[in-house]
Amino acid sequence: MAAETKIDDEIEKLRQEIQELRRNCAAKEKRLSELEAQQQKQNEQANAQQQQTSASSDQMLNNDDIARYSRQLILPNFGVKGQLKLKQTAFLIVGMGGLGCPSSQYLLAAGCGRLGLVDYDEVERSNFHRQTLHTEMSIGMAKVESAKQALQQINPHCQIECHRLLLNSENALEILRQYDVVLDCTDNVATRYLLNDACVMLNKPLISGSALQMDGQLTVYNYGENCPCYRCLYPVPPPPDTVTNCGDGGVLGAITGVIGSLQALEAIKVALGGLGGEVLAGRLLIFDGGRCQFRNIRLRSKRADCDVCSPKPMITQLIDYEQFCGMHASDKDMALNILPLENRLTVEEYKNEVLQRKHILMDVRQPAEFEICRLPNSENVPLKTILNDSYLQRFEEELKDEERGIILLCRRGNDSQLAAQHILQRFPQRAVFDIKGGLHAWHFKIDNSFPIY
Amino acid sequence: MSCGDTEKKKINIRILFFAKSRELAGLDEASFGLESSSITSLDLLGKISAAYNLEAIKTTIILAINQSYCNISEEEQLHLKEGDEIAIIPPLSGG
Repeated sequence: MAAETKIDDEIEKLRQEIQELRRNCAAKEKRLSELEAQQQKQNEQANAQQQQTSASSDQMLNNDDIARYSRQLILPNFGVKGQLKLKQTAFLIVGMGGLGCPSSQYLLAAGCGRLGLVDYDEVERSNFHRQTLHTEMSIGMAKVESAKQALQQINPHCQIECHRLLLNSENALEILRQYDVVLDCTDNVATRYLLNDACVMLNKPLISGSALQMDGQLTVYNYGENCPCYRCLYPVPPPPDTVTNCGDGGVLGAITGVIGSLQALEAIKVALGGLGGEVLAGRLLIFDGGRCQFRNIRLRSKRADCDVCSPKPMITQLIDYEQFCGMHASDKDMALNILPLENRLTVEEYKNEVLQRKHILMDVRQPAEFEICRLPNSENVPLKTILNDSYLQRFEEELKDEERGIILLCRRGNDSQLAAQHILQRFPQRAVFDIKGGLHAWHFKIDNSFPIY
Repeated sequence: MSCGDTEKKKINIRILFFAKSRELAGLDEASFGLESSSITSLDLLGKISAAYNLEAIKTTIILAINQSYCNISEEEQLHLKEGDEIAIIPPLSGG
């Protein structure tokens, strides 16, 4: 026992030390990139002075450019003119996640002049399967810094600017103003309305991509006379309880990869005036990854009474988008609090007081999640089967015993409350509890070897 | 055949569900019978929402008929044909 404690202590100590080192490392990386940026600026200034007699660096291609971009330079509709235009264009990517990683990668590799990255978040392990610029070494680092490091390895000749912040009504216009083309690679509804309105106000084209589970969508807003905006298509935001995020619904990395790559393609076409084809404006591309089918939906023209893009708009300055949508501007879950306190158990109370007594522990997650990890004495009763009362038949015998408590459990303690509330409506006299914080709390407070996802 | 006869003819349309609507309906696609080929887009959306558990999202759906956006309004009179494809497209916000 004593030996075990000693090992536990040492493990804990090592974990803390490693975390400290990572923090340290991240701070140094940041300082390094600051200094490198400074150095680059100085070099550029020196170069600019040298080149003043000839043309400046974005007016002509040097030998490195010609070698690096040769495979796209020989494209009939691209050419030297296209390459120079790309070099003179500044792109802003909002959200350095599953969409932002591939789109930034292709834009930068293609030789865009200036690339701005916006994200407030830090890298964590659950990002890696789809956010392919971040690596094991960058856990805990700001996503924008981690992405910048990876991108500089791909193409050191482009200027990358990091905006480590949550885009909001206060800062959006000032940031967007500095760029020519904006890519919406965000993960939430509030920021999508914010970007739409800001791009309408500044008259910037907006390349909007989204992905969830096996589905993707893509369109270009604010490009051309008749092109509708996001509000023309969706004048009212969806009810918050109908919006699923990647954390809850899941998403395959290859799906965000497809949509993110297409965003880069459309951004390049927008910058180059169509590239001899047709920009995806006024059309919505729907990607059904399950069947690997693409559909192109011909969209409406501008809504004559659109709140933001009509000739007489109601919205002339940015509003509070979290309030407008009733949702936070992130894909992090909000903690629900709908169950009375007396029906809520902490993980400690469950372990120490309830576990020995007669009860049924119902884990209300989806079967696919239950398969990942579960408490040994739990039964998988998906929330849907509680809300549609099919659990009544399944637990007919157990439910006859009124002494037996009913305990509800889920990943983070939201769905378990919905389930408990529904069961309490039918059995107001019974002992029905949910476990606060769910399996996440179990990991943090009871057993840190229990996996979290 | 007079125009009126055509309008009252029963037809079957094909409904495709995307994203959240697929989850709510529990289906990828369905064949849906209509009493008349003439119907307003608002009515059509109402019928589909009621039949496939889409009430919660019906205010934010794009309805596309044969891959073309359809304005939702009681004034939007549709004349559908047997086999027309109606796509139900809710917004997607993840990334």
